[in-house]
Amino acid sequence: MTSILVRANRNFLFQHPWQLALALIGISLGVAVVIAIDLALESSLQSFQQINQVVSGKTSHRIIARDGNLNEKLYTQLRVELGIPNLAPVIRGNIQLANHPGEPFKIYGIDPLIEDTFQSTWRLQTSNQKSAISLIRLVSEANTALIAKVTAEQLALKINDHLAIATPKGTLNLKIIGFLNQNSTISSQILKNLMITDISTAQEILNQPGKLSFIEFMSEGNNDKRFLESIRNHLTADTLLITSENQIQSMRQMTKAFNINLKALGMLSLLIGMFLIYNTMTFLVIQRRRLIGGLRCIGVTRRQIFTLIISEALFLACIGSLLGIFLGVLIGNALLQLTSTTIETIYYQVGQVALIISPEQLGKGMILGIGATIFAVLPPAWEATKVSPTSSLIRSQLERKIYKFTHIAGILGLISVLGGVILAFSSEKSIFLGLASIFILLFGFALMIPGLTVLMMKLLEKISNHFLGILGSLPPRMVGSEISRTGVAIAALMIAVSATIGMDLMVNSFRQTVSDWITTSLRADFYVSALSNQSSTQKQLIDQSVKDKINALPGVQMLSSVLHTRIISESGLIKASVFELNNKSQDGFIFKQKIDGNLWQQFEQRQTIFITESFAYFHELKVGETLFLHTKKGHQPFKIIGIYSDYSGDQGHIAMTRKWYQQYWKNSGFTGIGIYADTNANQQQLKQNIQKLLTPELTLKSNQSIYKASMEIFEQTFVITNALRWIAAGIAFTGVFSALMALQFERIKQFGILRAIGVTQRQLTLLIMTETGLIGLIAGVCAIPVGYFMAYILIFIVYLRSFGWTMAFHFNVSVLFQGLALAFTAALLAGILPAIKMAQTKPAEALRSE
Amino acid sequence: MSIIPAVAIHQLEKSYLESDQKHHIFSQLNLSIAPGEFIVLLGRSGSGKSTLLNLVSGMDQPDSGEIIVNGINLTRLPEHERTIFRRHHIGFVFQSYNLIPTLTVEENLLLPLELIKRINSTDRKKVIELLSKLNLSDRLDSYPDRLSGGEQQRVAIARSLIHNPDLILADEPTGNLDLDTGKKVLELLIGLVEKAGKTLIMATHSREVIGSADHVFSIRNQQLLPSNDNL
Ligand SMILES: Nc1ncnc2c1ncn2[C@@H]1O[C@H](COP(=O)(O)OP(=O)(O)OP(=O)(O)O)[C@@H](O)[C@H]1O
Ligand SMILES: [Mg+2]
Repeated sequence: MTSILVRANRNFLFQHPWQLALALIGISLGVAVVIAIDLALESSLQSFQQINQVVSGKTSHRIIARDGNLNEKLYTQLRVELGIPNLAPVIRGNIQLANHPGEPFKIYGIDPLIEDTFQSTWRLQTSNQKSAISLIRLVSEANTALIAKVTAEQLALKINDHLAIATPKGTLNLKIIGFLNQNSTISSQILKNLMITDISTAQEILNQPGKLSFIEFMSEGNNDKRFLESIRNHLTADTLLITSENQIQSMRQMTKAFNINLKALGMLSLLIGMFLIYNTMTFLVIQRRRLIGGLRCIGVTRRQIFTLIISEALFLACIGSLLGIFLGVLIGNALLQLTSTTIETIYYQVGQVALIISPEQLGKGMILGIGATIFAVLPPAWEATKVSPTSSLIRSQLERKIYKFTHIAGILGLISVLGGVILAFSSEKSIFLGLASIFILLFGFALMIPGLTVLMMKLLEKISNHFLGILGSLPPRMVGSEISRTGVAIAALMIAVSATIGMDLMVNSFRQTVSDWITTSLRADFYVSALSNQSSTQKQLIDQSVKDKINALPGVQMLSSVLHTRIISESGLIKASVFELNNKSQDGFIFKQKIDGNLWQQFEQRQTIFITESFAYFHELKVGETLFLHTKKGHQPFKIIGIYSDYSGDQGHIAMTRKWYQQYWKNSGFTGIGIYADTNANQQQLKQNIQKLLTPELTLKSNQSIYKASMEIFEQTFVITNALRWIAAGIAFTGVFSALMALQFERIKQFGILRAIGVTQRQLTLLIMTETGLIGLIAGVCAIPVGYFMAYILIFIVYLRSFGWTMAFHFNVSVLFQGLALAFTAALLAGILPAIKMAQTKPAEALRSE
Repeated sequence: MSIIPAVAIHQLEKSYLESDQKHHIFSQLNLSIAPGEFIVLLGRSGSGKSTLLNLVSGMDQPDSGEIIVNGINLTRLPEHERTIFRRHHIGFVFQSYNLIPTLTVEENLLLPLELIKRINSTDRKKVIELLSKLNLSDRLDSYPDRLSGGEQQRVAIARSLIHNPDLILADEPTGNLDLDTGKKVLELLIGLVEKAGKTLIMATHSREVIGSADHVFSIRNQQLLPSNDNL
């Protein structure tokens, strides 16, 4: 291709900055959202791995306790009695700097004298004599610590300076005796706000004497089976041996639903972004029809024209993708905190997180952006090759071909919809396939749009012709006759609006279900609960003594209690709720199966459990089956006698009575206490009396305030989803806007003729606005059933598979009207500018354009 | 008692701004056309023929001077009024036919009528009648892009006459047609206009029509001069 040819085109591109910007926005937003989500999730997991590398080095296994706290004695036992050499004990927790409260800081207590084999980051630097001494000093001198150089600089600390830590027993000054080695494999972000001390110092700061968070060690290959077995034999019912790989995998598993659902939204943005690109390129081809015709005339081949358009698109795609990656990193950083919090609440502590960007992820972003662009640009590039200088009617001929194509597209669409439905119901438990079915459905419905539009417009044309005359019948005719342009705009708007309707219906149903559930569950008048303790990984529990005192208060009719803990089962660590229930709180359970009269009797008196429906879904358990739990009396069978609704966590848990828990596990405090007042008790007075009994870590809440707080959390979980949805809608709107702009631009001559024969400016504006309004209405009308469909699949397939929750479909008519109104106003708004611009174009000028 | 001229132009000035340079098309142009006359406008390409027709139809405005059509001073009318005026009093025939592609032949002809009044069955009869005069009665329901160039131009001629305007403006009506077809179309146009007693201004390159014209002007040096060819 000659450089002149390229230049002729490139100049043209830069003469239309507005269109250029739209195309770039389309590509970059789509890429950004996908990249951001990917980066945030992967970084959370990677940070977890890196922090292990820093603290313990290379390890393959980890011993953990079900409640998070290991007894130090286990370490001594394994090391001394079993003579196992390579063990790395770790205690970790969150601390507060006395002079920088609110700044998150983590402490890791380690044993600096363990063997070299771990190759941990802090260990590697001991090759250098000076720091070897500082390691010994970590143990030999009390209250000494290592921090990263960046942190030291930030806090303006030098070696031998002191750092004040707030502990439960007052301020403690730690002497900085060395810096953590920074190397290229570890992100410097990870080392920030992190300190390493020896175990006893950390235990003292965290106020957990004799406790460890975990013990790690390295074990390679299968010949270590006997070795692992001997360790396992030493573990109590409260401890568990897991592989590091296993742990990463479970984290991945746990965040899968979260991950896939967010990525789907990212893909939706990209899909709509593709429409924008398609649109811009089409617009650029139309505007250049004369130029292209001229080029063809002087001997430029079709292939050259095609290459020209595609290379132009590639150029845009590269810039757009790069911008998208940049934007994606920014958004990813913001998302990171959110995703890691989610992971932490679901599973283990992640520790410090940092955005870790890998070249593969960036490559993925590039490929995604470029691939989507090329795909979207093929039709306009093809159209460009069809431009011939001799035939001035090529547009209408093309339209006629496309007209035929609407039939084929309609049939293909129908097949896709059917395929999507089949996939949705036959894909068993796969979340990915569930979401894929939504995409296939959306795609199918979008394909049916042009055919449907033509049909509807034919009908409308007849009606309007009869009532409004020829001028009045022009809008539906214009929509129908240029279906290759209008059809795409309608389809894009339809997808965006149906996604909005679908998600609104889903969230509304979900909200209603959760609200019903909370209302049903909250039986007590007041609840006492423990705040999570800042300085440890463990949640503070309520003492038995507090409960006894509350029970003795006048006006208290009865109490209930719950302990949220973890139990080791055959399939690993599971969550358990241990209840003391009364006849009122029993009504708070919503069972998924028919219950008979003696269910509660069985629950109290036999070795039985209830499980939540998520738990049942993910562990494939049914009523009547048995779950084996590790207890201090060996593996014990617990019969499942009930499955109940719970929307509080997404992996589910089991429920048992406190009586059975105490029999098999060591006694501990309570997470929450429910207080039932006498019917004639003065609630205000009672509340004050209870308050007097509580320590500062404990809070007292009425059931209304718990309800309110719970619903607030519910709304918060949809913040990202909502933001992403509006981004998608925003892209769609821009797309519709530019499509309408392009469409009207193409028709400028037709408008010139109308003006020449006496159509006024006002009539022309009305004409164009009616057309765009129609486009919005069709999109809105089609979006209603599609959105409804989408909500159905989201509720009964995607959410069920993601979280194991079943919810009721709460149909809400106002959501449908809102969707319709959204589509209509969006199109109308998008039409205003082109309409005004067209009406104000002088007819003489309009007639001059070809 | 003097007859009101169909078109009167006084001291017309028109220029275009092209990259900060004023490009004069007309200066101090004057013209008067009596009702029922047939005027031919000659002039090389770019001399301003189309511009003059656009000014006369009220689609364009001059820098200064007056354009009076049927006694109405177009230069003093606001845009909206000019459009309404055009709707009632002017018929247009373009070089590239310019029919509305989404309307059938019949609808293309009914549209100018509809802009003026409610359409009734006599209007439809009128359309059929006019089309049969143009040998197009069998193409009533065809869309424009199904017709040949000559056929489309005949429809365009019908459209310019259907609402019974006083003034017909034709801008190179045969420019896109072959010689033979062009001749036939011209004959039809001139014949119909004459029979109805309308005023016709035609911009053209073809010299065949000169014979039937009442006056021939050509645009030279930004002025309208009687054409030498006629002498
Ligand atoms: N909107 C405009 N902006 C700038 N210049 C214009 C504009 N419209 C017309 N012109 C210029 O005015 C001059 C007259 O144009 P016009 O179209 O009236 O010529 P014409 O005599 O009809 O030519 P042809 O025989 O080729 O149709 C030309 O030089 C043209 O470049
Ligand atoms: Mg011209």
